[in-house]
Amino acid sequence: MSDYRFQVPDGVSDITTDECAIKRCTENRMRAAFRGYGFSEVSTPAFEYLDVFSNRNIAIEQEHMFKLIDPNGRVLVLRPDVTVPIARMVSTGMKTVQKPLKLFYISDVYRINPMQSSNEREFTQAGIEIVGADSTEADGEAIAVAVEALAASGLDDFRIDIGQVKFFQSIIDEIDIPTADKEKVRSYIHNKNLVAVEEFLDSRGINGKYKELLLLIPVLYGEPEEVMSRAREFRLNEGAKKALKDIEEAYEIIKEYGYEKYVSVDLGMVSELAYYTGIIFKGFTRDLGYIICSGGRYDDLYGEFGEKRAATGFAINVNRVVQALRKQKKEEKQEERSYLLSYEKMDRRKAIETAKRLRNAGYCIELDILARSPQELLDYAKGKGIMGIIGIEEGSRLKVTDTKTGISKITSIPGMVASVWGDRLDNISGWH
Amino acid sequence: MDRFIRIALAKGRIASQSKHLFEKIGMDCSQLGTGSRKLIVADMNNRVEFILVKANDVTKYVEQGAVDMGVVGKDTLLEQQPDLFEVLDLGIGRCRMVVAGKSGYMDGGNDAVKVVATKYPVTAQRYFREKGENIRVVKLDGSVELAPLVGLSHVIVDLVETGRTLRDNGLVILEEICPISARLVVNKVSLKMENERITGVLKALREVLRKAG
Repeated sequence: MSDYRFQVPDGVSDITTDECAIKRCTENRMRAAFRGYGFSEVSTPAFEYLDVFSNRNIAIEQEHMFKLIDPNGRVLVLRPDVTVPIARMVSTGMKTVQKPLKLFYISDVYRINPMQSSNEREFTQAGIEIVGADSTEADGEAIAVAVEALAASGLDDFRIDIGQVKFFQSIIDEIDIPTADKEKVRSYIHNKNLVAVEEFLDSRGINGKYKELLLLIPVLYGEPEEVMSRAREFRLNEGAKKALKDIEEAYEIIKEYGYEKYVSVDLGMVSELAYYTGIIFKGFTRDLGYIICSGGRYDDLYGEFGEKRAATGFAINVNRVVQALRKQKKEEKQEERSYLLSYEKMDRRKAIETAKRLRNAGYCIELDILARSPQELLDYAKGKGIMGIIGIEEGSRLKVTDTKTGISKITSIPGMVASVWGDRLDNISGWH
Repeated sequence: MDRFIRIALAKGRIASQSKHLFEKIGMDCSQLGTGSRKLIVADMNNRVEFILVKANDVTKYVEQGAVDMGVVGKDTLLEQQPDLFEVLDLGIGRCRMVVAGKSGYMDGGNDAVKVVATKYPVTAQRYFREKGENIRVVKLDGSVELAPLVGLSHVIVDLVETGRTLRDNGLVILEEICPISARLVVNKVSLKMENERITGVLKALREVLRKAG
């Protein structure tokens, strides 16, 4: 039997100190952005009954979920997504809450990832849901919040592509072919495979306007106004016209936020037709070859849990954002005033008291529990990124040695507390 | 200065044939695979880098965005079902995916389950499933034609170009699955982030292919 003691399973990984600090900082910035828009945080169980995820309106395939069996023999799954559990939660425990409901979550999800080259089976999603609002105002706001959250994380070179599933759907629905054929055309267009679209249409004898239009859809992407005007050159049916109008209205809203530089349109974005029902969007950034954010309108999901409710939302893959930040050298962690406090045993009470007071003032104080020599302390502090070492001196005096320069100065608790305030004042004056 | 656009070519016949195509649109990849062991070759003028990788690896590089574009056989795409844009049929490396077996092989003998030897287990499974047939796959890495001869399988699913190897081994084509050729694939993010340059390459290639008929 081989020894797995030292290994972690495929698709999961440890997050060590630096990376964890960056990840939490990113999550906190997104949390602040969501809260700023009036969203409230919720949390759903790590595992649920498979039945919650097994109705026809769910985009995740059964074979992509991790399963467990509970003591009664029922099948459970590790949550592969949070949108569906929130729909279950809202439809059962929050039925009477006034609409619109604005909820957000930052949770780990688990998937047996179908993407062959990505080894991502546990990752964190930060996302929002707007429930009970079927207006394009809601769609526009969802996109604006996505922009805000991604910008807050520190990414700057990112974009969000907007589409509307009904554009393609209302065109294909006019053509009299079986559903399986429609699904084929959808998947070819989704992969921008013009060759396959053309071969397929020829094989079914579909010509004229439909052929021209279906061959154009995959390349209808780019600058919003240009794409829309190219699409409008066709005589479109009511459904397709309505889809364009939705995008137009959402784009107006985004412009009013001043976020148009982050946004483009892709009418060939024809994701899972059964799940999404309106505007959809995907976010990506330079230096990372895959999607970091995905969302859209899914008005049919709530019906599966009883009462039909309009809903839209998105999820950001936080791990991927962190990956992109590191590639772009934009990663940041919370700056800490961290110090190492060294003391003789007889001064312990004084050391503990000093540490308490400095912590109350906002310092991170670590006590030296190994009675190390000055050199050992300095090496340790350098390795851990600690700013300085505090020694207990006669009376109320403290000796603070800067880790980087090695220069010591004598100060006191009030002196150190005052310097926190001094820095804060500097920061505040720096705003003007 | 523009960043380099990276293009991965599947080693072997596809690489040597697609080299000509890229040269026709004014790119320089002459140094690629000529004696030197260099795996990356840069065309400084066009800000393009070509890399040579195994056919099975092309999609991994493209899917993850380590390269922006790739040239890979449709057989590989069918087998791996990668998440990327398949934008152009380059018309090179043409062949067919077929079911072959000993001449005179008949379905529905005494064996309950048909055994299929192949380098393409996913493709074989899917093909027979769509036909409503249950099969057992034996995945091989080469010389698939041997399998029916020595009784390892009833039939094979494999690529056929001229049919010579089949004939020499007394095998015949039983069913055609689909035609195969090399495809240009593009990373989903690259197409958007480097839209102008990638679309430029696509247009130029399309023009060359159109002229070649």
